Amino acid sequence: MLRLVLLCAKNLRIQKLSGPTIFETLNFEVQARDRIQILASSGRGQSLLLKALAGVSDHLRISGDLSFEGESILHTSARDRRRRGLYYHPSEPMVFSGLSNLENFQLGLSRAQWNRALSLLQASPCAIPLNQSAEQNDIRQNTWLSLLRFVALRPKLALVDRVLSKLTKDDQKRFFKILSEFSPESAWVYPCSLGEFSIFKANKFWSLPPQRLIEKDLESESQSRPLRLESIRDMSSTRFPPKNFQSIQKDLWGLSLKGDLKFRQARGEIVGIYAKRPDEIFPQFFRDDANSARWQLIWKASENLRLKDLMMKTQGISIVSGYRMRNGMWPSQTGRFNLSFSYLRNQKRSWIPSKTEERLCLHYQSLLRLSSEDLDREMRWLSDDTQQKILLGRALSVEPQVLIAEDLTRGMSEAAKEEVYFVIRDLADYGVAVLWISREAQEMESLCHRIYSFSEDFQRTLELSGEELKLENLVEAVEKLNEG
Amino acid sequence: MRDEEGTVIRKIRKLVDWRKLVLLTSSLVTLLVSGILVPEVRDISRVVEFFQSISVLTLLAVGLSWLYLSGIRDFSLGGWYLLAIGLAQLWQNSSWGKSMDFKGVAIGALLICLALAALGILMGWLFSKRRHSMEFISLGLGIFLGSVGIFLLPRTELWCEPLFCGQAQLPAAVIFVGAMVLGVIVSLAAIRHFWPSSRWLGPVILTWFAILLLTVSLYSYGGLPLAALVALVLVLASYGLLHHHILGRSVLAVGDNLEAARFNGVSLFKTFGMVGAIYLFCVALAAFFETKVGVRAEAWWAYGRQVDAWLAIFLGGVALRGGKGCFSNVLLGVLLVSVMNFVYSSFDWPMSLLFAFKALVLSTIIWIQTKEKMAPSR
Repeated sequence: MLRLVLLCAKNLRIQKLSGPTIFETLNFEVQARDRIQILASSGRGQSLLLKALAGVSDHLRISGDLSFEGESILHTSARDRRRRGLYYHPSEPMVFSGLSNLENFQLGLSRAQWNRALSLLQASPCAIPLNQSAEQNDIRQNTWLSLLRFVALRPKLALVDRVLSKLTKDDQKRFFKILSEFSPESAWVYPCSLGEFSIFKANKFWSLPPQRLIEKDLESESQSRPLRLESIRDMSSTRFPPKNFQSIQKDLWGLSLKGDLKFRQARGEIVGIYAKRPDEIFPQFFRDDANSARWQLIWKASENLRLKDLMMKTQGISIVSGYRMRNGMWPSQTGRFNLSFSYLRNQKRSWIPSKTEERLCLHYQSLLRLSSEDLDREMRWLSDDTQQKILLGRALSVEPQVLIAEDLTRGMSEAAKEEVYFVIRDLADYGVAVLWISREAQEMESLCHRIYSFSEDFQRTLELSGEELKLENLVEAVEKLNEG
Repeated sequence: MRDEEGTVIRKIRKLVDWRKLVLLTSSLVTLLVSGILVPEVRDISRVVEFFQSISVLTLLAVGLSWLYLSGIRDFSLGGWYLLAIGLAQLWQNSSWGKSMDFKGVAIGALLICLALAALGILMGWLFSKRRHSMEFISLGLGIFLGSVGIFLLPRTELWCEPLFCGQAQLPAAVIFVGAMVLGVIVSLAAIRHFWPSSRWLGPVILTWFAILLLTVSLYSYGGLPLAALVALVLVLASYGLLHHHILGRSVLAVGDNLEAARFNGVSLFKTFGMVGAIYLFCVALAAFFETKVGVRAEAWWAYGRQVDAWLAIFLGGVALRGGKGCFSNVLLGVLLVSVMNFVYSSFDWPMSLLFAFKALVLSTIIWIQTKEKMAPSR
C-alpha cells in the first residue's frame, strides 16, 4: 500500500558547531504510520539526530536536503515545523511543577484536542488527579501526563526521545495500544534499548554506526526470514560475546559453598540465591576470618578458602554489588577510572598505557551502551543505570570464571534491567558461572537454572530446579520456609 | 538565550579549573600588591629564601598529600619532621659525617631518607591493621616523635648550610635551557592529550607563564637552590605515579571507598605501606633542606610547617575524606601559602596573628569540605 512520504532526508550532514561531524551522509524517508525504532549504543547521537530533525538545537550545523511533505524545512524554525505537524518530545516529561495537572494538560491544546485528551486520560492505566499540583506527581504520573498530551496534539510525525524508558514494560505496551487507537495515522520515531526491542511493534529500525544511519524495513525482512535480534546487534556493531572472553579455560570447574548448604556450580550455570535482604547473604562469603564465616568456599580441590584469597590468587571471581556506595564504586572518581580499575590492576605492567585503557573503555561503551560523556563524569553524578552498568563492565573486564552478582539490578530501570539480563545470559552461554543473589523472584525465575533460598536464621534451605522453577512455587516455598 | 549562557559557562568551566585560577591569581596579586607597598618584598636577595621555603613546603605537602589521598588522616607530620631534622644533625656532627665531601653527604642523606621510608612502611602496616583508630595513632606518634626530635635538637649543631644553600646552586643558563625543553615537552603532551578539544590551552599557558616567571627571577638572582630542583622532580614523579601508575589508582581507590578497593583485591598493607614510605622519604628530604644560613633549627618550625602543609593541600583541593585531589593544585596551594609567609615576614607583625589567620582559613576549608554535596547512599 502506498503511503505518504512525510520526512525525506538526502545527503544530510549534521555537525556540532564547535566539534566533530556527527552524521556524514544521511538518506532516509519516513512515511505516514511508520513506527521507527532507533537502535544504537549511547553516545551515537540518537538524541542529536531527533533534535536536528525537529530543529530544536542551536548548536548544530546541518546541510543537505530535508523536506517535510515535499517542502524543504532545512532553514525553518522549530515552531514552523511544529505548525506543519512535526513534533519533538524530549527525554524528560514536559510537565511544569508549578501548575496543576489540569493546567499542564490543557497547555497549548485547542478545544478539539482537549476533548480528545480527556478520552485519552480515561484510557490511561495511570490515575492522574487533575486538581493535584504536578509537584506531587510521581515520575510515572508525569510521564503519562506528558505523553498523553503529546498524543492529543495528534502529530503527523512524532520524534520521541528516551522518555518511554521511564515507564514499566506493561505501561509501555499499554501506551502503544493507546497510540495505535487514538493516533493511527501518526508516524513515530523513538530510540530504544535492546530490552525494549520486543515491546514496540516497529515496522522499521534505524541503526547508527559511527557517522552513518542504516535503515532496515522489518516488514520485508520478516517476510524473507524470521527476524533475529542478533542481526540487529550486528548492524549496530556491538560485539557479542565480548572479544576478551576468548581466553577462558575449557575444563569444568566449580564453586561450592560448604556448611548448611552444599552445591557445585558448573560452567555456564546461573544459580540464584533468593533472599528478602540480599545484603545479609553476601557478608557470609566475605569474612576476613575463614573460620567465622558461615559458609566456606571450595575452589576446585582446595577447601576452607576465603573469598579474598580466591580473588587475589586466581583472579577467577568477580563481584558486582548493587550496594554501590557501600562496596561497589568510587564516587569521586570518573566512570573511566571505575570501569578500567580491575582490568589495569591485573595487567603485568604497572605503568598504565593510555591506549589500553581507552580501548577497554571503548569496548565496554559499545557492549553496555554507555556514552563517553558518562565515562568522563564523576560516578556520583551518574544515573543508577549507568553506575551499575559501569560496575558490571568492571567485573567483566577481568575475564571472570565466576560472576557473583549481589542484588545487581537494584534501583535500575526496567529497560536497563533487560539489557543486563541479555549480557548475563550471553555470559552464561559463553561458560561463565553466575551466582545471582537477588530479592526479585520474577527475574530469578526467568534468569536462573537453579534457585536456593534460606530461612531468616539461615538454618533451613530450599532448592528449586527444573520443572519446579516457577514463580508461584518459589514464593510459596519461601513462605513455608520462614514459617518453619 | 538562557540556555546559550549556560553553555558558555559550561565551556568556560571545562576550559579553566577555577581552583587553579583562584590560587594563582591570589598568589600573584598578593606578591604584586605587597611588592608595590613594601620595599623589603622587592629585595632580590630574599628570592633565595623564598625558593628555599617553597621547596621545603612542596616536599612536605607532596608527602602529606599521598597520605590524605589514600584516606589516612595524619597528625604526625610535625613529629616526624622534628625527628628527621634531629637525626640529620646528629649524623652530620658525628666524626663520620664531618669527614665526608658533597657526594658522601648526599649518599648519607639518601640513606637517612631510606631509613625513614622503611619506618613509613611500618607505619603503613600499623594503619592497615588499625585503620579505625589511625587519627589517634598518628597523633600519638607525632607527639612522641616530636619529643624525641626536640631532645636531639639542642645537643646538635647546625649543618649543611654551605652545601645545600650556598654552593649547590644550578647556573641560570642550565635552568633556563632545562625549563625551555620541559615547556616544549609539556606543551606537546598537552596538545596531544586534549586535541581536538581546546583544553590544552590551560596547561600550555600555565607552563609558559611559569617559565617566564622563572626567567625573570633568575635574571637578577642567577641561580636556583638544589631543593627547588629536587622538589620539582618529586612533584613530577608524584604526578606520574598518581595518574599513570597502578599505585596511584590504588591509592585513590582506597581513599575514595576502602571496601570497594578491598572487593577489587587491593592490598591495604601494600598501599598504605607505599604511601607511608613516600611520605617519610619526602619528610626526610625536606628536613635536609630546611636549615638555613645562620639560623638555628627550632621546634616550633616543624609545627609551623605542619600547619602550612595542611593549608597547602586542602587549599589545593585534596579531600579530607581521601580519594580526591591532584598535585598541580597542591603546588599552587604551596605557592599561595609561601607567598603569604614571605609577605608577612616583611612586616613587623607578631607571628601569632599569622597562625590565627591560617587556623581560621584551615577550619573554613575543612568545614566547606564537610558540607560538600555527596551522592545519596545507594
